[in-house]
Amino acid sequence: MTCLKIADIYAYLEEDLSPGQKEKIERHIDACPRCREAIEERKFLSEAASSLPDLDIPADFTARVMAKIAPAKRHLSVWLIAFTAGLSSLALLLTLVVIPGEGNLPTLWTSLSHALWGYAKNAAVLMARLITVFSVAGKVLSSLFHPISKGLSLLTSLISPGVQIFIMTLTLVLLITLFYVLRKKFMMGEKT
Amino acid sequence: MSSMNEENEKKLVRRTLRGEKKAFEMLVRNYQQSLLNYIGRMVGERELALDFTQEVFVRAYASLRSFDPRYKFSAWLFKIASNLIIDHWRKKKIPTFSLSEPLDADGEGLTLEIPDNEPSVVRKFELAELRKKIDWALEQIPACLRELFVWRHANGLSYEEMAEIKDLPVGTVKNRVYQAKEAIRELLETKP
Repeated sequence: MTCLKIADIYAYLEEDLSPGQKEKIERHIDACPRCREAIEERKFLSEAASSLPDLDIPADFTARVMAKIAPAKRHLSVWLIAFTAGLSSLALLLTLVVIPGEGNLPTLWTSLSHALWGYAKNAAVLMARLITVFSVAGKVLSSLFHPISKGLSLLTSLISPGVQIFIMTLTLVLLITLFYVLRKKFMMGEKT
Repeated sequence: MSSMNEENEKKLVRRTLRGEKKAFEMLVRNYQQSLLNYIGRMVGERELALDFTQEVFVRAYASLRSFDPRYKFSAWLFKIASNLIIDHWRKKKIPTFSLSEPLDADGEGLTLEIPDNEPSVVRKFELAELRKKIDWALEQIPACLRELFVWRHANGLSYEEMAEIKDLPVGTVKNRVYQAKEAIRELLETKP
């Protein structure tokens, strides 16, 4: 074997060779003092380089860093905002449509809920005419929905509007908090 | 570099994201020394190096949500530090070197055989003296070689990690580290 190239020496020192190549080089350096010396020289340099002294760091450095960091930013993503807005709208709609008990909500709300309920019924009838299967399903759902609606109306007539709004707000806050906690739990894994 | 394993590191990142500042403090304690060793050897001024090290943690904390846990946290920190240093040099109009461009005719020197009269420049020094001379020589070599040399030897990064940080093939990174070592050897040869 001819004498080693400089790249061979580093590959040997880094143990970045196949067993065959390594054996070949070891045979050569056993017989060649010049290459053996060159390897020792670079090995010594690498050892010294790997034990360079630490630079002095002030004792209060960590405290300085911690004093400077801002609270973690909580970015609300677009879809979270959209979800919250959608949820709020749905809650409002349900309040107006499902809880139409007289005297328990302002007049404006009642008339608005009637109007919306009318639109919903018209849409259901239209769909029922177009698709027979959906019509049957719609009727079944409707018959189920009325007792529920009446039950809710009766229930809400016992509760003052202020309490209803409070319950609704509390439910919304709880839902949003629950969603945000779950979202945080599954947040890890974004790209660097 | 640090005794913290990857799993602990990721747990601390998750805890920080949940708002536990103490967890981030542990990450700071674990990496402040290795980051300072790297930054200090890159910028050459202690106070500036301390400011930059602090800034790396501030940036890391602010953008922790963008950390991809598939990668090592330490590699991510070094990447932030490297970008910070490059930005600093650009602002100061200090020339920076691209690692993807060859520094000589492809690192040809590494494919050469060892010269017949290669002097033993390294082993004539005591270890402590040699470390000092390496620190001096590091300031003389191009920044892109210095960076890889420091990462490899002072910080103990693997070639794969360095390649990931610099977005280069592993072979190129290895070649540049070998070139850095040869450049340092040559400088030691000429230093009285």
